[in-house]
Amino acid sequence: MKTSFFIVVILAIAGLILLQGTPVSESMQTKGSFYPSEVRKVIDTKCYGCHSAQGQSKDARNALMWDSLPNLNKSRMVATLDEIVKELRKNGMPPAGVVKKYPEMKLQNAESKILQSWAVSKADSLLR
Amino acid sequence: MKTLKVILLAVIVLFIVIQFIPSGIPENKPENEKNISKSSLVTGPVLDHLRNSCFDCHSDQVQFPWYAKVAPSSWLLADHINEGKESLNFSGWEDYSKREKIGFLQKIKDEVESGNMPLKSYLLIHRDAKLSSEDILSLSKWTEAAMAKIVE
Repeated sequence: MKTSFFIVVILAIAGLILLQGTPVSESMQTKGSFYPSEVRKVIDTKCYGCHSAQGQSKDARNALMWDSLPNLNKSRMVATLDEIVKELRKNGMPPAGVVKKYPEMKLQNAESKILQSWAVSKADSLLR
Repeated sequence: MKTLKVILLAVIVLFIVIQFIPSGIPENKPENEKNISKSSLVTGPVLDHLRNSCFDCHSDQVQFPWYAKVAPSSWLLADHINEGKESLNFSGWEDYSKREKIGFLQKIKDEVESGNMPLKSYLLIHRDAKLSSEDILSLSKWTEAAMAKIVE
């Protein structure tokens, strides 16, 4: 009797933990497949601060939100990817003002290349 | 009185001298098959709007005003046209990839809807290039349709 009570309690706790865990792990998974880990790493360290819900600048949020990019319709997504490529090619991001204030935010050439080739191939795969 | 004459003469001489500095105004080229006008994406009055309101800075078919031949206004014009063509040239539309085309179409929509384009300074002199709200709507609908066509 006592054992079965314990089992029920343990199952209930386990169920609660799983339920709480589900949405988080699911969104991580979608992001994981959309953004390869090396891309995600660059975004998280150099871009996410402004281009996410936590960003201070409205312009930055209007121009690009990494979290909503995967949910855009096809043409908007391609257009945004193209904008990313263009911006990176002219070394436009992060803005000079930000880099001046926080030199560690400067996008290294290798990092820029990672983002660019990802954006190009992502767009190409959508247009195939 | 004499100084005034000297200054006037200096201004005239300077004006004549600067006419010999190359303005950097790009040369027009005849329209070829790469022009957006030949694209199946363009329909109806859209081409007229593009020609009328965009081509003067975003194509190799610029309608040059008389002051394009006179320095220093020619320098300003050269800057605008070269900058415009560098970001988007409708005369070389077919050289752009599908991705770039979609990027441009989205940008055209945003720029026209927000009233950023055509530039205010350009409209000041070219009143007929102003897009009415119906023109803007038709251009905006066209960009949507054209993007959908490319994505298909």
